[in-house]
Amino acid sequence: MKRRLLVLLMLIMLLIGCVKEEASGTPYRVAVITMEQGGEYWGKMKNGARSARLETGLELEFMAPVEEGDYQNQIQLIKKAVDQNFDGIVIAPSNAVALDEEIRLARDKGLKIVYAGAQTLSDLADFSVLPDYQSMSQGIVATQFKQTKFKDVHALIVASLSYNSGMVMLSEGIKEALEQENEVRSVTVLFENESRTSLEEYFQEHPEVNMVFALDENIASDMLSCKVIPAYLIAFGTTLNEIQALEQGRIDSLVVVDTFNMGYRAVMAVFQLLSGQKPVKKPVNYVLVSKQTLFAEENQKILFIGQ
Amino acid sequence: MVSITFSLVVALILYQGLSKTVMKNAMVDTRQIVNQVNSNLDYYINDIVNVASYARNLAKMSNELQGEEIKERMRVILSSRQDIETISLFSMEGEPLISTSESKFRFKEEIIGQEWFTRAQGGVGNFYFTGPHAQQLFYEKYPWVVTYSQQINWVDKNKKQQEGILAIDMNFSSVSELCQMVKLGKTGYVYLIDNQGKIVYHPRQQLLNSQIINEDFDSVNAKIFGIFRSRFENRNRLTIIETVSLCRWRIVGVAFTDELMEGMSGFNLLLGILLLFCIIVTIIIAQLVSNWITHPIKQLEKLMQNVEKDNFRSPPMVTGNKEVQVLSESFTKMVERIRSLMEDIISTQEMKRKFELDALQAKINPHFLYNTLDSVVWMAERGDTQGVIKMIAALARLFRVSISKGHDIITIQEELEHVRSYLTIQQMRYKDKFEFSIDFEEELANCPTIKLIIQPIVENSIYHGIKYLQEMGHIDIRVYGVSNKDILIEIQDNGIGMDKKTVSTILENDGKHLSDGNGIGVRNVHQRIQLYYGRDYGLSIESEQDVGTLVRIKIPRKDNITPIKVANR
Repeated sequence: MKRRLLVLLMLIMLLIGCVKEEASGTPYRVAVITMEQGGEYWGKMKNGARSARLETGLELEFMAPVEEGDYQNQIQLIKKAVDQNFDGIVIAPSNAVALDEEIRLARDKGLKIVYAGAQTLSDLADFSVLPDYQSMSQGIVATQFKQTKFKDVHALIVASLSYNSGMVMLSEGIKEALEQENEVRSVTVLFENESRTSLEEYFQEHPEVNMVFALDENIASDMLSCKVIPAYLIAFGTTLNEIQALEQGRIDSLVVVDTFNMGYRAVMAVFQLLSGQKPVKKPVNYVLVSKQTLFAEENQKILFIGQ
Repeated sequence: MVSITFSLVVALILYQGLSKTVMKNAMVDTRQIVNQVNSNLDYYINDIVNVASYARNLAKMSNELQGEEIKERMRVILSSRQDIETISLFSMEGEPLISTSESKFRFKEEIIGQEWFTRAQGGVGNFYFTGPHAQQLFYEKYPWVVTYSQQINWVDKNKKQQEGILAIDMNFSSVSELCQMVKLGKTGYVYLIDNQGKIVYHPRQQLLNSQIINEDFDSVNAKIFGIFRSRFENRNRLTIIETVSLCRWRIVGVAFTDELMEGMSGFNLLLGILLLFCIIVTIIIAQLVSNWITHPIKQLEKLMQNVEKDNFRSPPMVTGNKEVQVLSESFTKMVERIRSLMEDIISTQEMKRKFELDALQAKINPHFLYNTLDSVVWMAERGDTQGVIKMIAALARLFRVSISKGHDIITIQEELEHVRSYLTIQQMRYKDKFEFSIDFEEELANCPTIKLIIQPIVENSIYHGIKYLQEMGHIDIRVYGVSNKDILIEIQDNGIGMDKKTVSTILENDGKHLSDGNGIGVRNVHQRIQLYYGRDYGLSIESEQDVGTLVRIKIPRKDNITPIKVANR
């Protein structure tokens, strides 16, 4: 009899436990630190982050240096996030080495760290949302050589920052893929932050360059402003300027990385980590757009929604 | 159990009934909301058609109005609304004639190939709503629009009627506003698809484009119209599809069942508590009823267990229903009968034991009496008067103790007196053949023992041990207590002893006697002691050939008794 009553009591307690509403706490605060304030690339990433905010109720604060290479400012922003007791940081580290210490301190303070688009050399993040740079590089190069019959290719890969992991992986990946093509005679990687000459001057000095990879929208913009544009230009980005250049034939191929997806997934990953869940690894998508496929239905959705 | 099952069934029926009602209401509400959105969209589309009508009328007045004035009038429309990007009129060859935009148009070859242009062709009045697309009228901008296009007539400067294509590009601000203002549950939403099943507007368009989320297009395209329930990505959803008139779009409302049924949670709680209460009450009542029924049976069971434990006292009558009372009466009678039978058995057994004891004791007397009397005759013939007197006196003492007024239990002292008398007689018979001694602890003098247990041992010592000795025999009798619990009586002789085999068989209870008769009396004593005191008591024998024999008699030490007062004449 006593045991039965005990079981009944437990049932009642269980029922009460099930019914009791969860206490609603304050939302998690997450700092989203991009490499620079403006730009189409980061703009779309922030849109993705905002979409995730709508679904999770996170409190997001977007932070970024004015200039892309200003990693010192990124360090300050991480400190700020720690001092202001943020719960997590989504960061696209512009410097693969210099940010390590500050990120380590942030993590020691209990903040969840998620890398987006780039990473640091030490594996300090709790999670990373990155494109598969290796396969992306191979895919881009293979598609170009499949679509067009090139001869005696002298390729130039122009990247922005030599200390940014994304730029390094992408440039090395493209170089490696190019070197496997028979018609490629030379491949040069040029980091803008290390270069002493302008692109204009470089092209004058190296007239043999007939294929250029501009690895971000700023480089593409610089490239398009050059008087002489090399025979074949592959640019990364989705700026209006680039789309118009593609339509005009000044850009031959546009690589569009789905940064909306990256921003969304990075913020969702922080939320999941803070909620004790495990985010799922998946590379960030990209599409390759040519003048012919610019207005294809799927490409339109990626390029023009939100323009 | 039946009651609980009944409660559960009632609760289940109640729950299902109410769930159905709540779901039905939710479906009606959701449908009404979607219909409302549909009405608003109809109104909006009609508005666009009205704008198109106004633009068409303006186009017909192009011979009367200056081109700039027409533009200005169209721009007035645009300035009053955010949802229209551009209004343009093209010739059938794709040349822009009038436009609200100052931007440079694409070449006519690029214009005439576009879907909105080709689908509007086919006769004046023919109109078409495109799906969402990037506007491709100009080079420097690509807004995301839906185009309303219609073939119309316009009048050129020569007052000649011409055909052309009117295009109104709408952004999604109004559609988005219309769709986002509705709430279907907490996270339900409304989206639009065109007649080919492609998305016109979706509140989570970019998430869909980025393949972050998926939409259940298969079910929607399969149903075309109506209301249905389905399960998609582990969530039950209610989908309502309505057709938007004029534009051949379909409006799809998606509501999630768990959210629609949220109002049920309060009822579920109440139902749960009620159900629990009913179950508790049912269990308590069932327990009480069960106790009322089973208590007398349990009482009977206890009484039976008592009987199993050999407690045959008359069990009390058990009260309860008639059947139990009858059972109890029968049980009581049965127990009483068993007790009576057992008492009979015990009584019979006791009598049997007494007869056995008497028979055993009876074996001693005639044999000895014959020998003793033979010695008395012999001494009388010899004229040994003193010897006769001594022997007869000893014999008299011996018989006094033997008879003991019919008692089987006598004191240790009486038993020793008996053996002393016997030894005195035997000593006289076997002149100078043996000596004896008797030692005992005074405190044991009045301890009880069954009678005549030492004499047969002593007899055995004389006849089978000492009789054959050349030298003087010794029989020593010692009586002492052991740990306040038992009494040991030792009879030790220095006779010829026995071999081990004889020792090991002498007490065996198989009824065989040794060939020389040795051991009959000893075994009798052992059996009598065990019959009376139990298996823990009796005789033990140690013997060595040519050394002697030690017999130990172990009996329990009990409270002193009064010696039997026999006249000692």
